Amino acid sequence: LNQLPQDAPGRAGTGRGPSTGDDDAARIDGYRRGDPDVFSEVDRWIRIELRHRYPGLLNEHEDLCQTVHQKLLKNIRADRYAGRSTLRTYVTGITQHTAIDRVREIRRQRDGLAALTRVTVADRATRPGVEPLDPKLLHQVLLALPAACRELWRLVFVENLGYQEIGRRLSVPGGTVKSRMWHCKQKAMFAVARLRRVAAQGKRK
Amino acid sequence: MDQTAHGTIHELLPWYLTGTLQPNLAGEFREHLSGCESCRNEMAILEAMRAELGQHGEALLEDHPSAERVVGAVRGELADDDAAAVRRHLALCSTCAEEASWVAGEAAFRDATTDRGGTPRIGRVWSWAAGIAAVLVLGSIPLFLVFGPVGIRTGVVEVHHLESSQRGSAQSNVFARQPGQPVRLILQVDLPPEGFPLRLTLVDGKERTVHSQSGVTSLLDGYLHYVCADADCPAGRYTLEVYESGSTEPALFFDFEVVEP
Repeated sequence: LNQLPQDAPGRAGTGRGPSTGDDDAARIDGYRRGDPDVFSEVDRWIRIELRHRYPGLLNEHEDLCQTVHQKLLKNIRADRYAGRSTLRTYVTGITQHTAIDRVREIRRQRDGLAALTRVTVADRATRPGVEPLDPKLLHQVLLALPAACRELWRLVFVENLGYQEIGRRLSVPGGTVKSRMWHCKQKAMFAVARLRRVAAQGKRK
Repeated sequence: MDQTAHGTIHELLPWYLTGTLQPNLAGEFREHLSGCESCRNEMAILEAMRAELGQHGEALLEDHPSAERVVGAVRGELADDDAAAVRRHLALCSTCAEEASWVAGEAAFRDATTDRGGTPRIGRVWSWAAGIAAVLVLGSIPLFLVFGPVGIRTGVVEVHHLESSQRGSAQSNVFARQPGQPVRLILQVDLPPEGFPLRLTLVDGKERTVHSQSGVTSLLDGYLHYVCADADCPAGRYTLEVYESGSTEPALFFDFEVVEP
């Protein structure tokens, strides 16, 4: 970190010396009042963080910056900043998780997993295939399934229960367990097919 | 494979893998497996799932921690128990581990321009637009030959060709109704034969069912012809849901909007 340029992310100061508790108290006061100098300083911290750590979101930096300001103002007004870290560290933390949330949203849209319950024609047309399943992809598939399906997989593969026993556990007939598992299995297969298709498209690009 | 096989034997695959079937059912399933390619393909995936769950247990099924917790864990801002839970997840989840590497400054997120969900480049937009235009022009030729200009008032009847779509897609199908005429749709329905007879439900913009039809047994030249009567379809947004036989979840959606001319 010491070798990074002055505008590198995570640096506690702003070029005017290290940030102190007193400085931060004054900044918070200024930010709350809408002081343009303080706003610019905080804005610069956010932009530096985004530029260095999330260059892939370049087209969205403006929107992300606004979102971070909104969250920061809300937190400051609610006295959520406890002063355990410098204000700059606190701001960069908000910037980080705001950017990660955006990356997650982009990836969910790309993979189509947010709408996994809506099976598309392309899913139906794609066979899951017999190639070995990458554990990373498998984990994505499992987490894309509805909670009820994940519970069924847990009962079958972790607790090793038969369908009659699961039925007793869930107070439903064994036939219902088989039928629910059938739908969960279909969803898993469609998710595998969809993720493999997305991965193949990514490779072609 | 017939409907009965899918309805009974096929459902037993997960328990065949765990060896919890009764011996007679296990034997029956083994026999079924030799003739069922789809079961054999699915078995490979379920085997992988079983092995991973066996190795990592239910931690593999836990939701991703929030972005805030990932950031907090990397920066040492979480309570010990919570931080340990996030670290366990990071050990299993490569996508969250990648996010943690951005927070730690070990890497940067650079691939939005190659992610399909990211903001598209101008060149890509134009190439998509050109592709869609070509498909529309070529796809409309047969309809043009049969019905005349599609979407242009002929004074006889308007016919609209809809490709199957997912609800919420950006596709926009807006039809101006001829006074006193129904809206006629030709729907691309590429469902397997075992999905028939189909059930159709027309749902309006307020999620109310305005028309249902069951027992749709065949298609005309691979397309489903649907007539949306004047009384059923006043101006507004609609979704036609297509259900396969015995299914409670729609297999296909067709979104469209009717406007008064």
